[in-house]
Amino acid sequence: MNILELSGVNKSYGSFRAVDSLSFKMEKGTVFGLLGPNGAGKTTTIRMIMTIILPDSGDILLNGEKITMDSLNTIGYLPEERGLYPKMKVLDILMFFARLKGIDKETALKRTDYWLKRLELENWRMNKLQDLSKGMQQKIQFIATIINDPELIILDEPFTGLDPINTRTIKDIITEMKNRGKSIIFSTHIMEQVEKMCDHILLINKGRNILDGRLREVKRRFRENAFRVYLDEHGEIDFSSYGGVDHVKKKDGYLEVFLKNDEEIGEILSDIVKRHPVTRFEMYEPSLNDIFINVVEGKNE
Amino acid sequence: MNKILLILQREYLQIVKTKLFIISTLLTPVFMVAIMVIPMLLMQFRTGKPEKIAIVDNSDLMIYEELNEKLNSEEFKPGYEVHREEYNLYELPRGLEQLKNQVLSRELDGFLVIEKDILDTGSISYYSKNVSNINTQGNIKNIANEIIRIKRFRMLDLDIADEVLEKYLDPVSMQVIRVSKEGETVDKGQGFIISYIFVLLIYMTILMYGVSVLRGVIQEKSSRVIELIISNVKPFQLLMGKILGIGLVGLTQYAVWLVLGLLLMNNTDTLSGQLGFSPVEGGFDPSMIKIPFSVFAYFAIFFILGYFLYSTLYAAVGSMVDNEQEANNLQTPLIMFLVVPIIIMPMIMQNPDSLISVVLSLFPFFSPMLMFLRINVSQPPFYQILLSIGLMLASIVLCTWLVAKIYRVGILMYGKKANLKDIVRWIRYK
Repeated sequence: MNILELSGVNKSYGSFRAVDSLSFKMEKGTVFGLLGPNGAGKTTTIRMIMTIILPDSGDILLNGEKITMDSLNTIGYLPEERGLYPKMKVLDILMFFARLKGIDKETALKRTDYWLKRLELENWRMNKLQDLSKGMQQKIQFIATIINDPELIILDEPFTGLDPINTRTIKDIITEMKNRGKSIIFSTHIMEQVEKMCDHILLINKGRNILDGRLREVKRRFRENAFRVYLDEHGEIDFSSYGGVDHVKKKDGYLEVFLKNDEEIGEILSDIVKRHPVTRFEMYEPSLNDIFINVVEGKNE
Repeated sequence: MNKILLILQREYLQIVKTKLFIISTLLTPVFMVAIMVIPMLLMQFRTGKPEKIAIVDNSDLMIYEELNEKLNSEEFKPGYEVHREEYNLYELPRGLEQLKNQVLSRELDGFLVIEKDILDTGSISYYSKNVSNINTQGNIKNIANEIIRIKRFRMLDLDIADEVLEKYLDPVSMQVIRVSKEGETVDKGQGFIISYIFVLLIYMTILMYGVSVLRGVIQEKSSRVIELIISNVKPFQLLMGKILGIGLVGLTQYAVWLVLGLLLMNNTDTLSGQLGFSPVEGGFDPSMIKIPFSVFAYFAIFFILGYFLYSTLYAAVGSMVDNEQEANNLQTPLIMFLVVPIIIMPMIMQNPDSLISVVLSLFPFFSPMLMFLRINVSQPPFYQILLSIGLMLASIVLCTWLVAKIYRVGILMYGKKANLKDIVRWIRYK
């Protein structure tokens, strides 16, 4: 079941095409990485999902239906540009946004208390937001995002400005939400940040969908039948005796071995390990960054 | 609808709970009372000391004696201490110098010079350090006038008693009576003052709360909270909630002032009694104000409509800029619209029913001030009042429609200054 589905969505600002016939589907209960460089159209896409701006053409469906003000209440949104009312009290801010999301007073109060405690901010509830540190304000903003216990959580560059400890806290909460069946969209240009969390990724560039698929499949697709061998200082391997080896690249401290196909990989590896002082070897998997650069530069498609 | 209410509530509480609002709401009436009371107190302080006045009378007509007698009468509460200085023709220039020095050293408050040919010239001179003391000047002038006019009649050798002459020479007084459907009221000029104050109040509060809306919009933009809000609320709902909320703050402030004002007026007598003075003639006596209920009703109507019209435009200005400095340029046309009625107010007051007054008062941006003014100083036909209200309502609907379109786009625009072309394009956006 798809929680979100975009088909043929376009948005232009004057002659600039911010989003160019973008289509994708997002499965319910998955973590979805919306990835791309700055200015790729990620925020514009999210703003169209949130109905902040309207697409010039195309459809956006939430649970198979057009998005309405009521269905927006089931989405939690952390905008890239953070900011709340600096002169309002923390408790009032959270209550205000909870109430805007259509949550009754009692539930809102209960959840506010829970999250403030969970993020160790309960002593600040009666303080004005501007009295809090930047990191604490970010946490308040995160609470405001999930205060409605949303089915779909959209996080636009969620970890910018957070220290490692807070980043881990937020990641833990996101994982927990995922385990509870929530769907999560990560939008970021820093791909390593979310590589380990995403089930599915969508790479966009210049407003266009350039790569879309389950993370594991994408990685497999871009794996180049290669492995890395780390040897002792003076170790040497003569690869000419291995018929399956296509070519070898000598790198600093290790060798990158490219195979003709992946069928003989087991044999070759075990043979090498038997005969040479190998300290470590690993399958070579390109990072999302590498994949992205490859795709954008048109090397692999 | 519920969301508008939530926005409204937030805007309202955010202002009403501030110390600034509470203090200014409570202190303004205190300030107003002070303006009324301080002149009374000042008048009171002067009673302690009679003014010292010297008179140089070269007329040989006993003018000094009569002046002295009249100035010492009970009528003048502060009182005058009058004495005569005599100089012959040769001594006169030096004598005047001496008297001037006495004035400068405050031995004298002033001195009066009556020339020999007074009956022909009809002119006397009063020297004083404080030329703005209108009371004393008026008193001396009136009394001298009376005495000299009688003396002139005496020259005609008529056989009429002084008292009779005095009676004949009494100046004519004129009462101004304002005719209205509610009945006749004697106007002692306070209607004029009240209208002025009320129109200024409308002007000031529209400006104040309009700028409040402007600031609110800019703050939401600059704190970047705007994106989160409009992912929950339609921009139009936000706009309405904000304008209604801040407008309600204005009405709250008026309600507090009205209650305090009514309490004060009902207790003026006891209040002045406790402070130990009575309202002074010519001073501002709050108890003589009887403001008909209709004035309050019209005030509320024109404030609300005016506020709505201007605050929507202020919201548009706020959405088009990134900070308050930038807003200053863009809000100039709005301030012009607000200030022009204040400038032409005296003209409208003089001729409230002339064609140009009628036309200007029907112009929706001027109506809150000018139509309200005309209602106060004359009796414009009811259809004109209705027409101005109708025109304002139509303008509000039109402005809100346009502004909602500008606002929707503007609040998400940063960095780039919007020009007219942009704004037209924003309005056309789907």
